[in-house]
Amino acid sequence: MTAPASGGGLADALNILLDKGLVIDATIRVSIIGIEILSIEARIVIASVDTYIRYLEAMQRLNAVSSGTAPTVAHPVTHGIAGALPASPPIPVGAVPAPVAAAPPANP
Amino acid sequence: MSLLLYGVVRAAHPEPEGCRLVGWRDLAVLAGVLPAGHSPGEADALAQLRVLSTVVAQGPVVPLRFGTIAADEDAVRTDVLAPAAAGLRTQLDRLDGLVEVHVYLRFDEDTGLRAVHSTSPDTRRFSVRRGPIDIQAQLRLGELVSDRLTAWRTARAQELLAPITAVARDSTPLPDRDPVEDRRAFLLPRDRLASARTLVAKLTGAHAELVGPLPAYSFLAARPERASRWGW
Repeated sequence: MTAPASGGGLADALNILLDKGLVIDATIRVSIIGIEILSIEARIVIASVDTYIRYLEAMQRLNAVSSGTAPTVAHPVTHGIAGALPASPPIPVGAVPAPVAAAPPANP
Repeated sequence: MSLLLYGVVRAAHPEPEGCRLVGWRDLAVLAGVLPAGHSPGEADALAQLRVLSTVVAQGPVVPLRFGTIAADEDAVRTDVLAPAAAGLRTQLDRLDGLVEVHVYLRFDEDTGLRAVHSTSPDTRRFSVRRGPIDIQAQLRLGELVSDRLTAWRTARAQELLAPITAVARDSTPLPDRDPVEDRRAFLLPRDRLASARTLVAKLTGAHAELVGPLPAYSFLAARPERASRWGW
């Protein structure tokens, strides 16, 4: 997909105007959009922290996949529990399980 | 009223729509009118980039830093063109026939993470730890993955863009926004623009976009020998 020099594509390139381009000493240069730039930088820092944790968790999932110990649930808190119990379908809280003829009756 | 200065062209350049051409001998400045009390904002920046991108398709232009203002046309001639004329002519000659383009390649994050994992010899260090959570250590490990992901995408982008690099006069990376997005500026002969667009349109393996032609913001020459009224 290409973007000709239309408004949408040019908007992506806008930041080069702010710190590239010739500076002529004799003219006045207005200090502009400083606050907007700062808020963009703050968003980039916050995004990085989230991203780093996400990347670490991705490596952990890929470790589990490659060693054949992939958990049946993704949430790390239940790893220990899920590993100890035999695999069974999750039962939603409050639901009445359908009666199964071969299964022993559940204790009340 | 004052003038927002966009860029410098040769005086023979036809006056483009929507802006003024302030001429002095063989040089001219493209400028927009700023109403009194109006501070330049994003709309002015976009207008400037649009004008210069149209102009660069027809002849060389030296782009000025956004926010460069002169009081009136006389000030443009005496303070901008006359003192810097020799250097401006050199820049225009250097940039004659060349345009800047930006190419963005966005790779699939899952594909990249799998590639990083499969080529990392030290994946044990990412294992889930028992005991209290050490956020700093987790962030450092995440940053390590991010750095490897960036290296992976840079190598893949270089492969995919090799045909453009081969015909470009120069290239430079653009500021990073995301580990899986490669952002790069190329300085191309104008007659290579169409084939660069075609190549980017046909790329597979990444979401690819080309923005151009642009004036050569990223490829202005280093300070020339006779600099006196110039600053960077």
